[in-house]
Amino acid sequence: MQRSLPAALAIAFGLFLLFVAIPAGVKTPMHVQPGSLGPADLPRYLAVMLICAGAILLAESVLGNSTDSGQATAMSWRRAGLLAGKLLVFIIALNVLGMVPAIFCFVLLMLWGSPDHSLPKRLAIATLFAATIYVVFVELGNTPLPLGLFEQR
Amino acid sequence: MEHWLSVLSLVGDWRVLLFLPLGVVLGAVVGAIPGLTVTMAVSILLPFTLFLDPLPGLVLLLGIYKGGLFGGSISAILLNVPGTPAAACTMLDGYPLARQGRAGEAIDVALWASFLGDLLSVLALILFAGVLATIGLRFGPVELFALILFSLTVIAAVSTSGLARGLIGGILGLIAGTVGLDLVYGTERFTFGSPNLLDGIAFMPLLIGLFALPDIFLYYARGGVLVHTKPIATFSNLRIGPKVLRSLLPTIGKGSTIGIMLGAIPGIGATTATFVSYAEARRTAPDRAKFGSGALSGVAAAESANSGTGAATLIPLLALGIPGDIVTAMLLGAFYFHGLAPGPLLFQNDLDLVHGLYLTLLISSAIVFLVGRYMTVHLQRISEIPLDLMYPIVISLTAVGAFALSNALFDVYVMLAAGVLGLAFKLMRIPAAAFLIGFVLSPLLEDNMRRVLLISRGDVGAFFDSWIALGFYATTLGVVVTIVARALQGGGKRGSAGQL
Repeated sequence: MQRSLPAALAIAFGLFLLFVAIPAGVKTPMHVQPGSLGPADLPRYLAVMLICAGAILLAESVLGNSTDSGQATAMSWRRAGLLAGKLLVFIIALNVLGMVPAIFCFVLLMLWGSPDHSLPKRLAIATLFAATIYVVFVELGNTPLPLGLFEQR
Repeated sequence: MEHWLSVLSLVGDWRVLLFLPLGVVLGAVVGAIPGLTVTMAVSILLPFTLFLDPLPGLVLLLGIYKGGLFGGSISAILLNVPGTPAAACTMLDGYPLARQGRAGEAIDVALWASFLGDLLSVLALILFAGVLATIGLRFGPVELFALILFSLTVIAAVSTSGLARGLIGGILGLIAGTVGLDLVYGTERFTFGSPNLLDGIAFMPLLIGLFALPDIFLYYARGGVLVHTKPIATFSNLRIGPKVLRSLLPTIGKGSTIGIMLGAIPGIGATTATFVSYAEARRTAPDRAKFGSGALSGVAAAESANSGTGAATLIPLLALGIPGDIVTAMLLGAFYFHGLAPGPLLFQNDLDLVHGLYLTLLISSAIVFLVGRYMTVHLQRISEIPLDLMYPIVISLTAVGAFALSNALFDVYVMLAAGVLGLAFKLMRIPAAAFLIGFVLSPLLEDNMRRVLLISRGDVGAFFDSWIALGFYATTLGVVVTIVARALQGGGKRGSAGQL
């Protein structure tokens, strides 16, 4: 399963491109120079090649002659979910609070589970880093970092 | 004379003189910290360098690259953890030497080998890039199409994950490169009504996400598996004498040559070069009996080949506009951002910049040596900074960098999405480098394909109407046949692996 998953996904994505994404997502012009390459042609060729490459990989995994030497990198889905949650909070905070406060919250959140850092240390690191970003990019670099809610005032 | 004065004024710019050593130090620090990679550092800093003039920006990135090539050896020797994939071979003999209390000698050999390998590599770049660019001037759309096809196939073929996975990565990159307005007809492709995608998927956020984030995501998803090791050996001031250095010179020369030759071929990379060089030294070096248990030649062979690839990877980039590995693909993006197009015309239109680049590369070789000579003790201490402290800061910096390029939050989302894609690639062992190079070369491939078909009025035979193109096709076919035959013979046994 581990070996055939990328193959199956490649084939599925190739078919999706061929029958859904290219017809729906590529606008064909009124006139294409005869013998030339239309806007949908290269994506179509590539989709076919993707299906072929997927099929080769599938054949390799089925025949057991795969060049796949290593184990897929093990990871905990619970921890991955937790990380995705933290990143989601970061994205929401970016829109709501703006870049600098979002960075403060994100750094604090990421350091939360770490047993090596006490709460004052975590707060100090997050504050220091967010303040550095503000000084370097907003004050010195004049980069208009998003201000979120504060922008409306 | 006027030309060289102009070159000197470019190189004498205070920003060049500041960023060059800064880049080398930064690269050495990053290379020395297991868990941080040179590609990660380059991708994080790339957006910030785009606000600089071309040369200062490029030398900062090149400094990181070159410093990182050496820095990886420090943790390999002292911690038994390679700071970069290419330093894996250095570990085989460097760590046993450190255990014998000879860490200082091992690092000194690594330093000399890196310095000489790097110097020879820069000289090779100076000698061959111009010649190759002159040949490249004769390339028309047919030859360029064949060259792009050759590069993509080699990159896919030598990936550690096998040919099929490499192809999937490359094809996905080519498909991603078609997003946006069609260059000739002006119609939309895969934008689905989003104005943010009219110019295509932004290169920098994609790059940052793809190469800076997946390792960090994986670290957290594994629950911080990469535990920091305390150094088993501390750096001592023991250094090798001139006699030992002289005895190592043939190994260093051979390793550098292997590094230069393999580095100049798109897709091969430093890791393969180090393994080939190590295997060669194991066969021929005077202390070959000690290999694996602490041979100075082992360290010298690996490090000289590793650094030998450094400037050599720039040969196809500068001369033909073809990136050979991840870092040169990133540099290609930086060139484009500054309105410069690497390739034969760069040598005609921006020769000052090219020569300025050569000069700074030569200077950086000396800086790498000085940094290694006097800063190793500090680099060793820095390598002990915990990753759980560093990674949140790195993620935040990538977000700021992605935003700062076009002041658009959309780019931050693209970067995070690219990070997730990179993680998926990692889990499915699809080489992200093949994806990136496919993405970069996609518009070039389509443009040249279109030109050939337009000129020949749709005659597909025109793709074979050139001896140079036929040569590229034959080499491409040869590479594919060799890889497939080896896979069939070995029954899945992998050969020496490339870094891609």
